[in-house]
Amino acid sequence: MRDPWVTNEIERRLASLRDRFPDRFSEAQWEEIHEDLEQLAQAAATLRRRALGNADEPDFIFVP
Amino acid sequence: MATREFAYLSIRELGKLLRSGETTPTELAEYFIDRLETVGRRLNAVVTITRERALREARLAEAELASGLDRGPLHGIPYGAKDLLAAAGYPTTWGTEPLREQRFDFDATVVARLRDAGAVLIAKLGTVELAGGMGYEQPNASLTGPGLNPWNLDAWSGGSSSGPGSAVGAGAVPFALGSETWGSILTPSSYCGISGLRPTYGRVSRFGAMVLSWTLDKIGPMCRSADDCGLVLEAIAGPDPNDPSTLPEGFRYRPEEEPAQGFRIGVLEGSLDTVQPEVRANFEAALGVLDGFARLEPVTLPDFPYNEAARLILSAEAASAFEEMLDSGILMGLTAPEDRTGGYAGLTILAVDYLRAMRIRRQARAALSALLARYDAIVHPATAVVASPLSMRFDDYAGKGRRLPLGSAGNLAGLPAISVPNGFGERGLPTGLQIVGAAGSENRLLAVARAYQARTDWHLRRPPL
Repeated sequence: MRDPWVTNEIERRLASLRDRFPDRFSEAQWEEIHEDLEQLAQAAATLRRRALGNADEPDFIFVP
Repeated sequence: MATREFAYLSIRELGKLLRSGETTPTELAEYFIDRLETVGRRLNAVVTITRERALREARLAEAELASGLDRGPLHGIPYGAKDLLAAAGYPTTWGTEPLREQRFDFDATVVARLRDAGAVLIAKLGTVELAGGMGYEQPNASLTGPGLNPWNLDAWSGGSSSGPGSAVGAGAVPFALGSETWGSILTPSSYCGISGLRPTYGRVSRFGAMVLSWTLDKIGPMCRSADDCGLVLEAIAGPDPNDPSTLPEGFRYRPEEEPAQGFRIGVLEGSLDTVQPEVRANFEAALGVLDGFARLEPVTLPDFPYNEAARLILSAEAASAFEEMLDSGILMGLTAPEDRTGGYAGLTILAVDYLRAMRIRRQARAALSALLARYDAIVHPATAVVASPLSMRFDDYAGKGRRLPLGSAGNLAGLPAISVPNGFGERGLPTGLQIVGAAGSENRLLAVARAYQARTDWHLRRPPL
């Protein structure tokens, strides 16, 4: 079963894209974007299940 | 020599003919341009023939060789570049109809380096639009049409380096430059029966190449053999002040002897249940060959969500790299309907999700580095399936499990890999053996691949064109 947070997050992101591109897409295209959002949200949810500690840095280093 | 015999010769073989006076750079350039005009265009592999530049560079190579100036193994050898690499003055379409007339007034670093090595640019070759970054789901996703496979014209060439794959496979160029963010060198190389090398991230400058993902993009050679890949890699590799990601050291191709005690190779057996039966059979047959010169041990990949991390990072970086184009609406002119919408979801990725993916990436890279420290290479099929029929969507043919985990793991960690032909599968289409090594281990990978090709002739087979 999908996490309710994920469902709400997908709808929130879809709404933000509809606001940003109000006249760009047909409803069929918005459905495609909805599917893309779902894939990304599921991927993010999978990553969130992996424990990370405070000191776990991202894989890039800022060089001043 | 009858000109027909040029088509499938290696770089070293062509070089010998040039230096013995049996042919000239101009004759080779004209021969391969003609082959691109006929065979290459039939495969939708060609975007632009750079005839004027090619003949100018060929005449220069001819004069230099005649005067005793020898720039090395690529001197006078024609090649093609994926059309996301800038070549001064010529269209660089990135595979898209809306950018059909885009031009740059400089050469990409890799193109400039090949020019300095005396190679002759004869064509810009087809690519999936925006290197597939908008999520294409079927073969018809380029302004030049779907890439056709030289082994079966009803099958796809693979992507996103579709033109390099099919043009090299068809003997229409001796070698080509492709690029890989997630599978775009290894997949068309496997599908088209050629040898394709994805270098270590940072080994080759990306300056002058279209950006899809700053932390995933790599440029590499697509050739007839592993040996040819080594020759081309040496010419294009090395630090570049225009690309801050490049590694500080250069690269010298040093064909290694096979170690007396044999190579130590890890065999990744997970995921074999998901590949086509012929792909699995050819992989197992290849293990039999490898067993003759290597100690084989089963290995498993460290447990990480490779596909999910790669998807988040690629989608976020692509959305940023193409944000102006997404905003402008220009992408509504792309060929594949799904590419007109495919980049928008990435605009909503949370910064913390991107950073989480990058934090996991660091752990995954360390774990893979520890694993690969124990082996000269790890092997696995290059792709789960042979090339899909032109008429089918990828998921309908291969299923959603078509992305083998070693592909995302290797690209996330910036590891080098090569695909070499290892047989044929359904519909007469080639399969590939993927050999992956530790960061910076290209010479060792090429040694393993050369040893394999010294004992097999899959890379010498010619398509029925």
